[in-house]
Amino acid sequence: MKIVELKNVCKQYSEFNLKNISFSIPEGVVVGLVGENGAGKSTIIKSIINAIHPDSGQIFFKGKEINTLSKSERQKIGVVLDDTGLPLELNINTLDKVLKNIYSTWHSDKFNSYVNKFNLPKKQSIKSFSKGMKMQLALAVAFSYDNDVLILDEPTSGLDPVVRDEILSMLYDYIQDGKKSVLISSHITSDLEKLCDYIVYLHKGKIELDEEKDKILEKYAVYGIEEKILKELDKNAIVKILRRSYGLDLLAIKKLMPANFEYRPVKLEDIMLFYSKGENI
Amino acid sequence: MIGLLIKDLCNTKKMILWYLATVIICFVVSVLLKNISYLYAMGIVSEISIIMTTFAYEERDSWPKFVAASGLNPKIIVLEKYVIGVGVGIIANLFSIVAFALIKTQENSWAELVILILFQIIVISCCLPAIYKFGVEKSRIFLIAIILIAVCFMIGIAEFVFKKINITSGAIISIISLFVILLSIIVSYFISLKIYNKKEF
Repeated sequence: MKIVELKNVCKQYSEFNLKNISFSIPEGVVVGLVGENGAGKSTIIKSIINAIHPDSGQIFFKGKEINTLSKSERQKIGVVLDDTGLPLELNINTLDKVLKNIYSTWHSDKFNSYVNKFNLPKKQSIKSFSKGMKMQLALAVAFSYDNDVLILDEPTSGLDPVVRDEILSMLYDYIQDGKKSVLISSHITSDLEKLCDYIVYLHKGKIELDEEKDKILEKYAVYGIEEKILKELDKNAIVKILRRSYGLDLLAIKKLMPANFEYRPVKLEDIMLFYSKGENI
Repeated sequence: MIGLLIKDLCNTKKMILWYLATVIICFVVSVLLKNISYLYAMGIVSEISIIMTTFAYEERDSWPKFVAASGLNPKIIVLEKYVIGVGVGIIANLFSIVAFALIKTQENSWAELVILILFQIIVISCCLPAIYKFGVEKSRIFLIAIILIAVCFMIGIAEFVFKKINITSGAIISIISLFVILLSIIVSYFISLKIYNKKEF
């Protein structure tokens, strides 16, 4: 079952276009939205959470167009924003009162147990929290009302590895029952490699790749070759080329490349690098 | 809406207390000097400042994006700002009414106070759509222009009411004012809502 589905979503800005974005988030999976800064990740997320209005295309939540959702249906989409969106002047106790009156299925006991788990101070204003604490609080908020999918915009950006790891383990816990889905955008590809089942790679507002992560990692490999060898290779094998001072780096389809060629396994970071800086053959 | 009200009141708690203290001082000064204008001016300043501060905090915190994602009805989100604005206005006007009652002489009538309250509501009715349209920073200059236009407009109305058509009955002026207050608030609310629905965060 598709929890969230985007069909031909377009959004035009003066200096940036989101072009015909179509992908889906199936039930129980984690989809990673990868792309360099300015690729359109946040624009897609804002479209899903109703913060911007796409020029064309449709977005569905459980088969129902997102613009027609009721308040309680919309609250089934949990959201964690890169800048949290929480009122920074408030303390956690007041925040609890505010959110209790906003979310139909708010669980104060659950919220307080997360707050205690992360040792977040309840009486200090949120603005005094570190970035990591603010992100933990944003996750505690998202986990404290009943939702079926969690949309996270750059949740690990600017955080140290310890906090990033904690956040990833919270997300693991969230998807444990196999019914909840996650869409997470990040340019920290190592985080996505640990967590995601599917990868949607965006480049300049366009989807370049939408595949299962394991298939991507299995299908592609990085080869370092001399330029003169390029002509001998199957052109269908080569996805992108990066010219280096020492020769060429190729992102290629493993099974179409000569078996005796040395390669190194591809990482999501390579995919991002090749697609953003590489050339076609 | 209660959640939004708690958020705004807690966000601006210190500011509200500060303005309340200032309004009380202005109340005493106005009564002692038998001139309501100090208190009245402070009422308008505090009303606009508190509303603008609630918007400023929201912009800083990216709250509009969060609240849009929460599925709250835009009608409620916009209405809450009017409740805050009118609520602060009512408190400020209560002080004005009491001060006016204490210093009232033969020369001034209740109709003058009603006209002043009307002016306050018109300012708020103009401010809120402007803040929704231009944001806090850009709307500051716009608001000065609005207040100047509203002052000229109100002077014109007062001249018209008191001199040209010679309406001196407090009851008639109050009824007309009440009608204009309601009309301006309703029209302003729908303009704000229209702007909000088109907004992107």
